[in-house]
Formats: sequence, C-alpha cells, structure tokens
Amino acid sequence: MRNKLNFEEISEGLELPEVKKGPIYRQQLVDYASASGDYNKLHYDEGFAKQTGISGCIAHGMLVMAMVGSYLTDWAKGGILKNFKIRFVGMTNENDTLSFTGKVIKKYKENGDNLVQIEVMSKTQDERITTTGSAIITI
Amino acid sequence: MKLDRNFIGYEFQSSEISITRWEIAQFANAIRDSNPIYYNLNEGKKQGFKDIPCPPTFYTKFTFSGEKNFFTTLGIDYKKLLDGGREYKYYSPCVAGDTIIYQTKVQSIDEKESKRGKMDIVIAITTGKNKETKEKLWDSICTLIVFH
Repeated sequence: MRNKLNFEEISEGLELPEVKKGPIYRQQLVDYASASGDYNKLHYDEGFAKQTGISGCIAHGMLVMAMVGSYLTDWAKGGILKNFKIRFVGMTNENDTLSFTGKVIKKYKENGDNLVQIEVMSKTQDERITTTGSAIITI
Repeated sequence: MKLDRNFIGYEFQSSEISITRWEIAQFANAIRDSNPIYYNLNEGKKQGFKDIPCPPTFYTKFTFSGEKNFFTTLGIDYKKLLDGGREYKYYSPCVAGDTIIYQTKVQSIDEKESKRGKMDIVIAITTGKNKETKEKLWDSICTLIVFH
C-alpha cells in the first residue's frame, strides 16, 4: 500500500514535483476516443483536422484534464479530489510531451477534513501552456 | 449565429448507466494512469473503496444526458465550437457496480465579445446521483464557447 501524505508536512507555497507525461501518440488519442465516447475526428483523423484549419490532430481537452487528474492523485497518494477545475488555454498536439507542475496555495481544515488547494498547469515541450487549473484535495 | 435563448434553463432527459470495472480499466489505460486501484479490486479495497473507484474525470463519459444530442439540439456547429473548460465538484465516490442517474441542464447562455468576434458562452451542468442511495455524486460544469 502506498504511504499516505502527511498533512502536517504540507505547507502553503510547497511546489509539487514536476512530472512529464507523453509523448501523446495517435494510439492514445484513439484509445481515449473509445474510452470516453468522444469520437470527434479532429483527434484521430489528420485529413479532417486539416479541413478545420489546424495543422494536425490535437488531443482531447478532457484527456489533458484527465492527465492533470492523474498527476494530482499520484501526488496526493490516496487523497480524494473534492473540486477540480481546468481551463483550456492552448492546444495540445499529437506527439506533444506535457510537463505538469503544481503548487499548494492554501491549506485548511473544514468539517474535520484536512484540505489543500493546489494550482496546477500543463506545458508542452516548447513551453506552451495548454491548461491551467486548480483542485481541492482531501488528504 | 446567436444561440436561441429559450434554451436557458432547458433540462435534457436523464440517463441511467451502470459502471463496470472493465470501463474503468479501459479509461485508466487510455489516460495512461497505472495506479493499481483502477485495475485491481484488492488495491481499491486497501484504499477504502468498496469496489474499483472511478478516476476523477471518468464522468466525462456522462457530460450530456438524454437521447437527444446536446449540440444539435442547441444548434451548435462543431466548427464554431471551443471547449472553454470544465469543473467537477465531487460529493461522494462512485465505484464499479454502482448505477447512476445523471441529468444535464443548460445553466446560462451569455454573449461576449472576443478578438474573433461575438460569441456565446454556454454553461451546462450535469449532476450525477447514485440510483440506489439517491446520494449526489458529482456536478460537472461545462463551459463551451460558440462563435456566432
């Protein structure tokens, strides 16, 4: 079993270790289309994607949010998300590798729960920000 | 084209679905999350779940309820559509074996001006409940940008 995070050792301003995930290959976009039921061809049919005026296939925004979710739950080691919010600020292209960073911006107790609020972001290998967001996690 | 404001407050029919272990494993694999709690029942139980739990964004499968397609009902052209963002509020965990009922409501449609011209900001909220316990499980708040 994974070791739980120690709430007492978390402080406001604490930076979560950076994690890289990817590259996001076409296979993953097909797998995600099937697992999520989002079959918009923009994500796996290059010809169709180009017709809409973009240079190639792009990742589903919700796939990137899911990857941010994994980043947070991996860090929280069994902590449960209470709130999770993402804004899509840039496209994640096929074959991009994303790096995830986060920071504890608030630590508090509410109704007996130990809570932390995290600010989180994903960037591509060429430093383009693709998502920004925040989460509240029960530790 | 501006969206029809009569859809503000519109509720789609609710949908019912049973969550399976296989679908959770399929989803976890697609997002390349190797956490054993999504694949192995014993690992889920060790973390205090009664079965395999859903990953946080698993409910993206249930973003829109009802038989009628959300986008065609509102008259949204996919080529003018951008996904603005998503918020989840989690009230209670959902695990494999649970049957859920979820329903989508159009919360608001507001016009905004952008560099690309006029657009409508659509906020749709989908609420999931456990069919058996009636417990509220999550709210998914979906922000869509639709250019005129």
